[in-house]
Amino acid sequence: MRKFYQYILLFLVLTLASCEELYTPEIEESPSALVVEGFLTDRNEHITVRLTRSASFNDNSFYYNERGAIVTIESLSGQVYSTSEVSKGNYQTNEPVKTEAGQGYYVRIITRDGTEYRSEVEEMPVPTQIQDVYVVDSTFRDVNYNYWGEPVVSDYRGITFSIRPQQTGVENTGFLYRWNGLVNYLVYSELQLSGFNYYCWDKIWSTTTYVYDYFKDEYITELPVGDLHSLSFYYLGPLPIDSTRFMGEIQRINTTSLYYQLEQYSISKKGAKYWRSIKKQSESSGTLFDPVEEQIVGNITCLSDSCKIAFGYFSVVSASEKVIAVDFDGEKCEEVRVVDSMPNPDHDEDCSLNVMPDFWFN
Amino acid sequence: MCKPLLLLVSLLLVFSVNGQVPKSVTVDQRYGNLTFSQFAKNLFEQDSVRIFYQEKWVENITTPTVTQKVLLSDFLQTVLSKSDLHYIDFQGNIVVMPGRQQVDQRAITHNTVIVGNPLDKGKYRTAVISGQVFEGKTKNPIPGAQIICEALSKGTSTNFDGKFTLELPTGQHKMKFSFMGLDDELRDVFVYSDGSMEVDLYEKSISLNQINIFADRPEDNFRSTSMGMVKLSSKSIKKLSVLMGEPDIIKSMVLLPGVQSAGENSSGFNVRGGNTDQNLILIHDAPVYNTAHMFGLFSMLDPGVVDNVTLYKSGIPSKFGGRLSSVMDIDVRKGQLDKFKVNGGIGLINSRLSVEGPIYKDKISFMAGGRATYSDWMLGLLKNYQLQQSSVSFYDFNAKIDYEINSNNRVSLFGYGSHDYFNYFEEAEYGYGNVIGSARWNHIFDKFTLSTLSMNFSKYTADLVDYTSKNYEYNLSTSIEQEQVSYHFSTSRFARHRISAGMNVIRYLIEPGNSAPHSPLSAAAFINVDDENGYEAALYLEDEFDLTPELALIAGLRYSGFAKIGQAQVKTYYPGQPLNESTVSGTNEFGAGQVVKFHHGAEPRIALRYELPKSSSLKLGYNRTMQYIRQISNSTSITPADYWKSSDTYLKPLVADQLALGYFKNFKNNKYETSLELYYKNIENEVDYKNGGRLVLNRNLEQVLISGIGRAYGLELMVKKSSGDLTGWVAYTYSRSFKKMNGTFDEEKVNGGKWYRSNIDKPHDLTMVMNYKLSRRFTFSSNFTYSTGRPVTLPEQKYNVGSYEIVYYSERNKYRMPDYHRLDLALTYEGSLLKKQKWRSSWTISVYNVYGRKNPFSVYYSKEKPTRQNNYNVYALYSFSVIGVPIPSFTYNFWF
Repeated sequence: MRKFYQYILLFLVLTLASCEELYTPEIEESPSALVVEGFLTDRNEHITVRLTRSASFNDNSFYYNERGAIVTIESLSGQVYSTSEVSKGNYQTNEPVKTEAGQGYYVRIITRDGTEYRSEVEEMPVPTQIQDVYVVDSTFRDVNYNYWGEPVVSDYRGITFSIRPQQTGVENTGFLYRWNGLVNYLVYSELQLSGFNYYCWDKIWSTTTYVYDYFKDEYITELPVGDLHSLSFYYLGPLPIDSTRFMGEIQRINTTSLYYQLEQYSISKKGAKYWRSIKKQSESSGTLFDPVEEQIVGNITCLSDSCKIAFGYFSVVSASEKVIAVDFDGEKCEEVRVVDSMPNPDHDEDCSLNVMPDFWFN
Repeated sequence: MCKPLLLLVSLLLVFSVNGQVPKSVTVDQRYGNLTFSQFAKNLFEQDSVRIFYQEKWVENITTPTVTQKVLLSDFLQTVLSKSDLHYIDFQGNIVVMPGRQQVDQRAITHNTVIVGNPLDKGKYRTAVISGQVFEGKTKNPIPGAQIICEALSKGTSTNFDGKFTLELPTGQHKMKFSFMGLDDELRDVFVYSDGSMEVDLYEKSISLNQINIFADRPEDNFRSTSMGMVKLSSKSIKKLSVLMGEPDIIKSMVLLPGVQSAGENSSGFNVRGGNTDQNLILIHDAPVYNTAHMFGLFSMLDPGVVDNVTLYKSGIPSKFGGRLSSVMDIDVRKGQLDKFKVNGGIGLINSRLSVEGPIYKDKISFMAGGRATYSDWMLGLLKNYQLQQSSVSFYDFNAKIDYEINSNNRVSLFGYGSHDYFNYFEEAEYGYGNVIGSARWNHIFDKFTLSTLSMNFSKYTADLVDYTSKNYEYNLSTSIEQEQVSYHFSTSRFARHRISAGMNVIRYLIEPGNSAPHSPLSAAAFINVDDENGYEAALYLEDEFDLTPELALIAGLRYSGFAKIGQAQVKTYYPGQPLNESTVSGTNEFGAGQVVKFHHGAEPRIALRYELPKSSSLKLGYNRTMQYIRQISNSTSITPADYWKSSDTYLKPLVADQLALGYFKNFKNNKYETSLELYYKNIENEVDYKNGGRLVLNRNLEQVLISGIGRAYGLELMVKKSSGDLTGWVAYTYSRSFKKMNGTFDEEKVNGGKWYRSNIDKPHDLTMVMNYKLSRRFTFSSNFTYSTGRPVTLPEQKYNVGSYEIVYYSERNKYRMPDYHRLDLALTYEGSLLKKQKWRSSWTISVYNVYGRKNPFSVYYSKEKPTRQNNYNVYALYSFSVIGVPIPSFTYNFWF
């Protein structure tokens, strides 16, 4: 009898689960639209504009690149920078673009069928320096399932980076943040009583663009700019490692330090809203409490035909950066200091046998 | 023994005692020289023969000396003949009657009632009957019971104390007493002069062979002047099968035409194209701001404490205001005045228990109860670790005290509290709850006039703790609180008029949102959106007027106003510019108590009924309603994160004008009721949200809201069978609901400023409810519902930006979700039906969503790894069903 009740309970539990299913409704087909991506910075560098085409939602084909277009970057003061298609759909300026704070810039595109598009004019913002970058020890919890489907809960020590938002003088500006890092780790191996020190490094990149809007993000006093999970020691550790590249038997592996480069882009308010919308849309979960859908509004318009839609954004941004080095002692930050620049080793991932690279520090 | 007391109190003779007057009963010298009362007493004690009489008729009678044994019948004839009295033999009892055989013995049945003093026969042309109707089982007075004298087309209904007055010509009449969920009672009434009477109504399931599941008053269908009104007793609701085996008031209402669910297991409902926040839900006169437990799985109130529920979809009486679309008035039962009673139910997820009884016999009664859930055990058995570590629970409690000060005054106090808690794997905690306190004083001035003074308090709070960003955990809390005083006065003193008037004043305190760090280590900031203070007041006057026997009119006028009160800061904007951050020109400061903005308006209400031959009528109604507070939400369902907002400088009150026309007809002596209603509604100051507008913790909400207009129209058909072993109804609703946001500036337009479907536009809605009494113990019931899928905005194109795949959405609400349909079945087994049985019980087995339809709650697109299942799309559309499988449940109910 007792088992009978247990079966009833189990049945009820199993039937109470909600379910998610793939849903493929009939959706109207519509002509593909031009998609523009461009990022004009004040770094006096070559600028690349990427042109692609949208696809119908139920269309499983790839996104087509927009080839053979004429792309120019222009300023309100009359400067025109022409581009060349350096790869499919990628148009790079033939010369570095010199910009001036307060000056208005836009991109003009004429596609092969003669349709003309243009981005809205955006002023080059005054660069804003990053103030402080904070490093905090943290613990991250992750749940995985083993072969038998049983939950395996793991806690990972790690670090979190955050900055203090700009509070004054930037009321019409938003910020975008991206970061990249360089993890240094030491592999010690032994072969026939001889010891070998391998000084290794590995470049890592942010997987997320962080958006901060002065008005909308007032509810937070610090802005997290590290990909939390990526910066746990679980990730910072060099495992899994190809042991065949080391002589002898590996005795010890230690993550010793991390370089962290934070890039801050001052962008227009509309640009901040655009990037925020993109981030928000990608995080939609479809649960009971999701807000209604948000249409992402870019700054590209079709001049030839006002009925034609175009997607994407041509951003005009001023950039600044800050690099800090974090020295680890086991799973603890021992020292944090600001450094002038980010090391740039020849390879993204490599090791040096017994010779400490010049960017390495203990 | 004799029953003079009964007669003295009620001037009522009710013949309901079994037995036979033995022909052989004789009287001897022991019965001589006694007062009549003493004689009757002795006769009962010594010979077990009862005599019913009225004391004043016999106060001068003494029995003669008896020298030898005589037959009782002869003796009585002698005794009474000198006093112009006679007697009749009724089922073994002796009933003393005035006059000489004025009432035909054959006319006397067990339903005979005499009102007034028969000695007054012929003195009056009319007489006023004052009476009271009780529920036979509990002896509780029944408010709203209907009393009809069909031959004269005259009727009335009982007041809050179950009392009524009705003026009838003297003579013999047939009167019908009815109330939803209870069996009708017919009385042969002999009216001589002013007098009173009492009637008990019983549940059919106990007193008769047939069951009447949906037993509101069938003749109301065509006879009542109001339209768009539905009244259900708790007994009717209990018979409907619902989720988790628990009867549910709100979910039952959703089965009626014109009322639609906001979504599977979502809180709230939509009435005739109105949003969920446009329904005023009152419990013991106090408003309830969140009516759901566990995000809509259960309704907020234990159905066992509900006496009756009235839903007004249109024809809203003038005494109600403050919401646009409907009023649901829930009345709470009164505790028993003479004995204690326990009522409970044990289910798999929750249980309930209530106790009632006298505090001071026949004067003060109480009722207290509560519910609690123990659902965490289910989560613990799930395979998903996050759900295992989650927690969900709720509880609620209620208490009521009724004090019968005297026959003209009654005071009742009611309290209610509820709390819901949901914790999802260290990521988020939700908590929300209601606290309600209500006091009511009913006063009867005279038999025509009564009043109700009501004071109540209601507070709803919602708290959210967000743990998702480590080191940035924050609390978010919102609340709304109101105190209300209302006075209602009604009189039927003037022939053919039932006049009511009153006023109410409400003070609001709204906390739109406060955010604070959850712990000292959290870097989240303190954000405080200013509290909102406001006063709403209204005066009203209404007359229900019988112009002719066929034509009746209800005309009412409500005048309401709302003042938003400081402290407040109000942004000003450059003229001719859209309202956004860049067009702010300054800030106006308002001190405490200063009026920030005053809105007001008249709300006329008119209803007309023309009764046609053959139990049919035509009704026409017009309503204007105004709403000064509204819920801010951009999700499709009510969520704990939604908050209330009062009208202010920029947000104008909602105003709706509804015109309704209906044809109502009953067939086969009210066995079948049919209705057809058409309505059209215009709504001013509807809002929608600007694309990407942030609603939470927004101090300048006017910058993200768009103001526009709305309209709704529809047709409602219903066929209902009210009596017999098979009862139920079929209802079909065709309804449309649209909005138009066509502001001056582009950002203030939706879909280019054209009309578009609102989120709740579901044109076709069909419900079929059936109850079948298989035997005295078994009842089978089923519900089937179908509705068109609600509008949804879907992606039409996709493109790539950086590492993101982005979609481009269609125009707002261009597409629809799949249609919704569901079948529920239930079987109820009643325990012992014996009246003497103290412990009574019933078992209910029900299955919700019998064929496991996966009705989508929402459709969304989400990022997934490319797999064969998603056709190698990185992003895909998904439908989310809250309940996609059959859900059986089992409940054991008991009472003693």
